[in-house]
Amino acid sequence: MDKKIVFEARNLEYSFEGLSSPVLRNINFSIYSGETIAIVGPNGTGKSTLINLMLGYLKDYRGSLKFFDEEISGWDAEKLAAVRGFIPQENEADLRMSVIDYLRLSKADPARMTSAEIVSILSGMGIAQFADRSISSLSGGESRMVQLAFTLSRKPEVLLLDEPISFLDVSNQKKFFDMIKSDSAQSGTTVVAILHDLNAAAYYADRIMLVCNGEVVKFGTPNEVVNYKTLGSVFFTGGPESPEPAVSKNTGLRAHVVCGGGSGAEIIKTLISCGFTVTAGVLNAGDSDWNLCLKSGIKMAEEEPFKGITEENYNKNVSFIRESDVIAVCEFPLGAGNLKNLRFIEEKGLCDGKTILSGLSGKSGFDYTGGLCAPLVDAINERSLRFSDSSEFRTAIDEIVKSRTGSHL
Amino acid sequence: MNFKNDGPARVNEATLFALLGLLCFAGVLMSFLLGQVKIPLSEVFNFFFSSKNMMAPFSLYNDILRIRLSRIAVAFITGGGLSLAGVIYQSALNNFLADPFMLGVSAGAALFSAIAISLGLTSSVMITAFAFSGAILSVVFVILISGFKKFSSYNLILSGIALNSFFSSFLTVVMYLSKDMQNIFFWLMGSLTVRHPEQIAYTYIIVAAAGAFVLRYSHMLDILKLNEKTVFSLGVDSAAWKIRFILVASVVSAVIVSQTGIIGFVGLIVPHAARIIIGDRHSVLVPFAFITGGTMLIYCDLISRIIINSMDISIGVITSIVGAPFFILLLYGSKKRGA
Repeated sequence: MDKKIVFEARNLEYSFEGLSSPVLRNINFSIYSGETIAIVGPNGTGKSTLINLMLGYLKDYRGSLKFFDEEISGWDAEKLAAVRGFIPQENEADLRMSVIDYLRLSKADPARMTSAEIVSILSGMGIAQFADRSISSLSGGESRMVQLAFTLSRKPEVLLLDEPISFLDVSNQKKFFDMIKSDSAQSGTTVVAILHDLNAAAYYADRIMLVCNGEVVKFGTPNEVVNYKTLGSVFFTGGPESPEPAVSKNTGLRAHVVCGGGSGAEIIKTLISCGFTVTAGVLNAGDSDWNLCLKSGIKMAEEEPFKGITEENYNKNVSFIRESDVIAVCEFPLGAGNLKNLRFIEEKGLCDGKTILSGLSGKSGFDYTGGLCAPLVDAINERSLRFSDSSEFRTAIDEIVKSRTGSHL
Repeated sequence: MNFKNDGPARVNEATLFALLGLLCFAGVLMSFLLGQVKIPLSEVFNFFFSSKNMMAPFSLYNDILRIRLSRIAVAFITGGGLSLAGVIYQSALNNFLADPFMLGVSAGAALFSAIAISLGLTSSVMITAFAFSGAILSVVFVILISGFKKFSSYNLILSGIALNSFFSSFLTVVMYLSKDMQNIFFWLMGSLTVRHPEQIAYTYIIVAAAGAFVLRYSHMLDILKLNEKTVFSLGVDSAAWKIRFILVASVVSAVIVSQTGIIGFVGLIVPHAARIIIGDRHSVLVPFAFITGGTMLIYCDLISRIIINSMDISIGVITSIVGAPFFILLLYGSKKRGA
């Protein structure tokens, strides 16, 4: 079965009034019905402008942007509303109105839904318990699910999302996208979402559109787009370099950092400034700790997002650990994908003679494995020096340097 | 942001309306009974239920009661109408500082009535007619200016502020040149004395029509409060609806201002208070704010008559003195609940 083209852009270009250089230029793509597309790219590269054009909100573009075979500038707002839904970046946080009354507004005409219909939509999404709550009383994640219910109740053929999960924690992100996926599977909805989180993009999207400096740099399957070569070229061309940490005399000591999600930044900087040679891993491409290591030229074991850690990269990580004197384990969200990062503790003889510094608290807020990580966390903490913040870490490192080199900084 | 606030959604709306109705009724009753002359309840009863009876004994109180009835009617529709307009402005412009006078209604009315007075056209009908024309003219003017480029609430409010200060300056000039400055000043202070019963009736009819329109399309006011792009995605032409609502609210404010002068504060504060108490759903909020505003002005008038004992000290002053502390309490209470 060949699929219908939903969006088709040909030489699409858009400039804001009064600005000489276009925000978007030379954009060409086709999006087919039933696809889930993630638009990714650095800030300020035109992602939002692109989604606003696809929304029909911005009109005076040059080139062509067809929506179901017809220029989108020719669609009127009501006709568009009948086929496509939209969720903005912001929550409706200050609305003093019950969830039921809010959902009633999703049909903008007076022939609105009955409370029973609304409750059945809410229970279909597993959020019927919110029905009588006030919108202003919902948490960020709850509010997002209610916005999704609002939009899905209109049964859109095409769903546009502007950074829908930026403010959600990992488990709410999953809930949100699982709901969209199941709706899309049932009704064949086409989904186009701007995403900041590359892991989520790789995980949920059929195809990823990488936008940089107003152009589509790459548009393909997650495997084609989310690899460190492509991402590195986009996220680090001409961007401001982060200042190198001040390095004191090299102590000849080596440290390996197990981190993720930005948890390693302070630790890595501290280690470098104390004269350590640092390695890190296993890190997902696109992760902020991965960015830091790439920028600072730190050797790391890396992995493409959501593939899980392959044997090859795991072994590379182990070899880094083998060469190091200190292993620093940061507190970072543990999921099925990166649980393997803690397995080094089970390797026979690997940690002998090394100092392990652990920031793992064992708190459930960082556990997305459903408790699977607990034994590993306990095993690591049992033979570690513990630290709870970067100043404690600094103190511990100073001690180690003193005892291992006989001098102090 | 308060996420923990249980919100008003669970509060029983019917109970709130019943309480408000009771409060309003008590205010009306006290307004008949109290004042410089205290009138017994039986006379009030007679005034209403025996007046159609030709055999009813002549009562000295009837004239006073007739005046009080007129004041109550004016106070209620003025407070109610200004609150109704305030709710509409705030929601349609999505601006919490919007009030019935934001788009130049008061400035236009004031300038034109001042012109009428200084031209010697001092009959109340003439002043009213001039004030109404001035008010409507300014609003239309503001909408036109703001629509020159791209219509937005932001442009509209800025145009309103510009026109307000422009007209106010002209008003100062007119007052300075006029021989009848005291009369103009008196009008500007606002008063609940309306001499012609037909004027009161017209006001009721216009406010009722506006109220019916707003209730019929109350869900549009709900929608305009949502995220701008969400509104667009629903296929709602927000600019057209904003202009419709603004025109309706402006006609209501113009009718009221043209008769009572400028009574501030009510149209700004009552809508907020009503939102805090009953929530943002306009099908409920609009009538609730309307009755709250009407009731508030009845009590303010009552206070001015009992305590200050001078019939025509600016009612606007009283509304602020009585309303502000109450509003601060309400705001404080809602924040505390939200903490």
